[in-house]
Amino acid sequence: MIRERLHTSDRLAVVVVATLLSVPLLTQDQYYLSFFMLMVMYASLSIGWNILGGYAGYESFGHVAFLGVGGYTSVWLFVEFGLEPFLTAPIGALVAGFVALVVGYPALRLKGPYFALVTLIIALAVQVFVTNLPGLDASQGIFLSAPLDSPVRSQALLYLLMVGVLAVTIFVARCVERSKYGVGLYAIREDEEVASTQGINTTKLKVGAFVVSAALAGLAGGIYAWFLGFVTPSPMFDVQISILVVLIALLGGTQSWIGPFIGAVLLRVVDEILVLQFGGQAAQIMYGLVLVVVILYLPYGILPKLQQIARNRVPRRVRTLGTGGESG
Amino acid sequence: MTLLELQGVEKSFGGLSVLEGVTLSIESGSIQGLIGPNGAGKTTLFNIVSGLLRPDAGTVIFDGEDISEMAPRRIARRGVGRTFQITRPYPGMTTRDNLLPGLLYAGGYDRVRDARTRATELLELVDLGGFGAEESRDLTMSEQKRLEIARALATEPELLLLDEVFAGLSHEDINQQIELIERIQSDLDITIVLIEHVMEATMAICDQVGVLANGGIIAEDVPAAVAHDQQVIDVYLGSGGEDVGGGVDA
Repeated sequence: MIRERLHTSDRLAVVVVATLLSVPLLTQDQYYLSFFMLMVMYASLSIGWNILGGYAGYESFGHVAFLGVGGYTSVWLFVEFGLEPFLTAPIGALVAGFVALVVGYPALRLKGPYFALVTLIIALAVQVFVTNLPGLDASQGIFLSAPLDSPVRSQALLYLLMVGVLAVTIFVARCVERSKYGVGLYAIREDEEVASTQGINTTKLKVGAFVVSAALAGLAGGIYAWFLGFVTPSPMFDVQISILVVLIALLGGTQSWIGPFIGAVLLRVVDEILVLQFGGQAAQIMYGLVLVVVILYLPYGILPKLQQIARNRVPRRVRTLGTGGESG
Repeated sequence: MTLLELQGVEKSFGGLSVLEGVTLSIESGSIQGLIGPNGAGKTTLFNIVSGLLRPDAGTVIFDGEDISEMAPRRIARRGVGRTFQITRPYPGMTTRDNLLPGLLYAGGYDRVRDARTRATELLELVDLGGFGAEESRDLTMSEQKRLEIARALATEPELLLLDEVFAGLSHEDINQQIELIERIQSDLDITIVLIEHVMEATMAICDQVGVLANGGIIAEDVPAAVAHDQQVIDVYLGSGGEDVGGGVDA
C-alpha cells in the first residue's frame, strides 16, 4: 500500500476549514457571523480567481460576473421551482462555468491590461443583461425566503455552506497546483510562446482555468444570494468585489491557495477595524494607503515574504511545482 | 534518410522579403550548421520549422509529414525541439522545474514525479546537475544556454534546433559546449541543426553547413569547402574580397 504523504498545506487546509466550521458554535452574534461570512466568501473568490489570475497570469477584473450569474441562477431557480440553496448553488456553478466558456475563447486571446479591461467590461455587460432579463424583474429586487424557520439558524446554515464552498475551492486549487495541469498554467504565465513550442495547448488550458475559476465563483454566488436575502443587481454585480478579489490575491501572494487565503483574512480584519475606528469614508482612505504601502514593499505578496523570513533567503515567486512547496 | 526537408519556403514581413524560396534537406543523424549574415533569415527559418511562423509559400516536411500549417504544440509533440537565441528560461521557476512543461506536454510523461526524475537526469546530461534548485534567472549565460538545450531535450525531440548556443560564451565555454553537443547527439541519437556565428564551433562539429543569404541557400557543403566558397566570402565580406587563405573562419 502506498500512503500518500500529507503535505503541510493539506494539514493547514484541514485546520482552516475545521476552525471556520466551529465559528457558529462559538458565536450566534449576527455581526460576527456576517463578518466571517464575507471573509470566507472573499477567500473562496480569490483562491478561485487565482487559478487563472495567479497560476496562469491572466488577471481578470470581472470576476464578480460569475458570482452574479451564480447568484441569479439561484434566485431564478428559487422563484420558478422553489429549489433550496444546496441545489441551486451547484447549478449556478455550471451556468457560470458555461458563461466563462463562451466569453473565454475571445477574451483570452488578449493579455495583460487588455484582458483586464475586457473582463471588466464583460462583467458590466452581464450585469446589464441580467438586470433586463424579461420575466425575472431583477431591477425590482427579489426576496429569497430564509431556508430555515429561524433567521439566526438560517444565517449559520448559509455560513456553513459558504465554508463548504471554500473547502471545495481549496481542494480544486491544490489539485491544480500539484498536477501536470498546474505545470502547464505556470509555463503559460512565464512565457506563453515558449510554452506553445513545448507541446502545451495554451488556449485549452487557459479557457479551462477560466471555466473552473468561474464555476467556483458561481458556487459562492449561489450561497451569497441567499445570504443577501433581498437580491438586487448592484450588490450582486458590485465592481468593488472584482477589484477586492484581485487585491486580496496580490496582497497574499499568488503562487498557492494559501496566499489569497491570508490576503482575505487580513483585508477583512483591517477593513473592519478601520471602519470601527474611523468610520466609513476615512476608513476607505486608510484602506487605500495600507494597500499602497503593502504593494510597494511586498511586490510578491505577504506569503513569499513570510517564507523569506522563515528561510532567510531571496523571495521566490514560485515554489517547486507540483509539491505544494515541500522540497526546494 | 531525410528527416527534414524544406521546399521553396518563402516568407516576407510586410514589404520585406526575407526568405525567397529556401530548399534544404537534413539527413537523419547529422549535425547540420546554418550560417549567414545578420538578417539573412536564419531565425525566421527556425520559427517556420517550429511552427511559430507560417510560410507564405513552400512546404516543410518532417519525417515524411507536411508540418507547414501545424500548430507549434503539435510540431513539438511530433519531435521538433528548439532553443531560443536570446535565452528564455521560465524566469520564476527553478532550473529543474523549467524542464517539467516540456516533459509533461511533449515528452510523454504524465506524472509530475516521473517528469521530475527525468528532469534531474537531463540536467546532469548538460552538466547542470547541481543547479536543479537554483532559480533559472540566477544562472550565468553559459549555464542558461545549457538550460535552454536541456529544456528543448525535455520534449524528447528527434530533431533539435539550436539557435546560437555559442554566442556570448568564452573560449573555454565554447569548447565545453562543443563537447556537450557532440555528446548529446551521440547519446540520444538525434539530429541537430544549429544556427551559428561562431565559426570555430561550426567548423568543429558540423557534418554539413548551409549558407543562407539573399533569401536562399547559396552554398551547402562540408565545413571546409563552404569556408572557401567564393560566393560565401562575397556575402560576408562584400564582393571583390579574395580568398585570403583563412576564408570566413577568421
